[in-house]
Amino acid sequence: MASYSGNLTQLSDLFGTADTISETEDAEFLSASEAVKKLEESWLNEMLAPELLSPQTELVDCLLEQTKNMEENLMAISKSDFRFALHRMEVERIRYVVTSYLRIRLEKIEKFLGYLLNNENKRQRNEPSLLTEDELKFAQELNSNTETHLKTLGLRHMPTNMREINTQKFITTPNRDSYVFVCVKDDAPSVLVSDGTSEGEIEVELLKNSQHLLPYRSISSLLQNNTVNLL
Amino acid sequence: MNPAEVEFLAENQSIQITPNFSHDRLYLICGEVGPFRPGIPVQVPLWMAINLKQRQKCRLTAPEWMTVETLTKIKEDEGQSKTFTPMPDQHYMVTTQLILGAAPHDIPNTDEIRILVKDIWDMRIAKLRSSVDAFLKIGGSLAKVDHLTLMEINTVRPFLPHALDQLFRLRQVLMISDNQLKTIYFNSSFVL
Amino acid sequence: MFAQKGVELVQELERARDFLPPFNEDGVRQVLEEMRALFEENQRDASSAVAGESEYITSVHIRHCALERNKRCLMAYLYNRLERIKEHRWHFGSVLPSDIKANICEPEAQFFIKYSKSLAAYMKSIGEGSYSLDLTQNLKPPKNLYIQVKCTTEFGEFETEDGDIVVLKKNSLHLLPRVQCELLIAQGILEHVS
Repeated sequence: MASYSGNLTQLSDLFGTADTISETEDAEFLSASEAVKKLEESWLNEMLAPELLSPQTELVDCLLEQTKNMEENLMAISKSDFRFALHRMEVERIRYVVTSYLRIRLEKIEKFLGYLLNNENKRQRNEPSLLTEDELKFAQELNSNTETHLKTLGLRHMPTNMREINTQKFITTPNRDSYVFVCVKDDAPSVLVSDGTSEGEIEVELLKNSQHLLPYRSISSLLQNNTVNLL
Repeated sequence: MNPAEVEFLAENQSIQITPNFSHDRLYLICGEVGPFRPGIPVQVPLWMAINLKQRQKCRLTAPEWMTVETLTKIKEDEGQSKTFTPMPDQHYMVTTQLILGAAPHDIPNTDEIRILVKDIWDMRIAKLRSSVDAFLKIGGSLAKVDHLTLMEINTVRPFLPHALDQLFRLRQVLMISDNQLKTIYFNSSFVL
Repeated sequence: MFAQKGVELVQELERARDFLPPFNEDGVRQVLEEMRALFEENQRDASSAVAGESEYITSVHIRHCALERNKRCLMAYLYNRLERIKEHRWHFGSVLPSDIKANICEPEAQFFIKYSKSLAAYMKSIGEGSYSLDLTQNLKPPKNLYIQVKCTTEFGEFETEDGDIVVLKKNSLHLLPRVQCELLIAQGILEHVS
């Protein structure tokens, strides 16, 4: 990062070029502007999907890094500088999307706590997890605190053979048949959509730019591989 | 999704402004903007255009489609079509409100434009309402919603998806096919 | 009627949607006592039933259902209160206002502290730990960088992230960074004026 020497014409160096490449462990190189666009897509998908989606940790980390660098750069210029407000505004917009995205994930994690922890326990080591390490820790702590609390105030004082709860009976499972609006990004193979009965299955053509209202289950894998987005 | 979030997304779109100041290129995280020279039009994101306008640093240029002629044609086409026609802008309603709100004097014929856009909106929403009505009555299980914009889709949330979720569940439980469902719903009032 | 008290506990929460009523220690105790009594009666009758006096089987069964119902009501009551307490962390921050504190029992206060700690630890971990993000703020898309606020009480000094120190006196007006006002606005200390 270029240092500030007080020379006005060198100020533009502080902010670098816009083609900042983000290096991720996955060797998937995204320009910063592509990263922002992808984050917004992930944010909308997470908002509208009935279940928890794969975490976009690298994207989040990369964009937070970008905003942090930008904020550090901003400390070198005066608040009344013309650019200050504009850079600040952009930083706030990106931070808003990241905050909302992570918040939505936490809400879903709390809602489907038992279900997600069960899946995590059953997961094979080579399968990717739906939770980040830190989300998992949060979920496990919440689960344990809740159990402790219910035991302390209630279960412990109940008759001996009633002191367990069959948590399996009371966990909330995501409704994967929930209806969602989708937009098709690229031509995709048609999908079979069930109407809830065992016989009624309809074939739906997924042409580029078409939009549909259908059960989430029929497009969940297409969502995962970025062929469709939720609207 | 709330309207503020839809508006947020609309603000990412690019719009042309004519600055009244001079400045070098700006290196935003999302890309470069500028350089800015007085009187020379330049493309910037809508959120930035509005901010600059509020600080009286530029004039906004209306998008190509925001003219009385174009909007009148769009309104006619929409009126004549049974289905939804493609809109020139994914966020036509929000963009109009934002631009006319921030820079009414930069755009010619603002009153007429406002009225035309509102008419188009009202027409499409009315079409949407009756489509939803018909769709539910026949117990449809999926729909093609090409050309609907995000804000329009938002007006039927959460009601429509929830209603369809319930119908799906009912079909699962009752295990009856579409045909039989049609007969039932025509003859009774279905309270959701 | 069996499980009457249990149902009353659930109804108490159902009626008080906007606020958290005081922890009904008495109600909880009564539910547990009824469970104890039902259980003991069942233990007595069960041995007779097993011994072949089958007319006891139905009463054992009914008491068992009542026991399950009581358990379910009590769990619902306790669990639902936890949900609301969690919501308070998101709305009021890590310090509960005194009127809410007065309505929760000691184990609930402990739960709140532990939940608060978990949440804080998670928020600190975001961005590989180099960037702490407060997920309870920034609830609306940013429109303006600064907003005009009025202070409702004698708050005292407030330091903004930029390092400026602002003295918040009762009825004083300020132009402050939007993001930093959110918590104070939620707590009622500042009021947004348009």
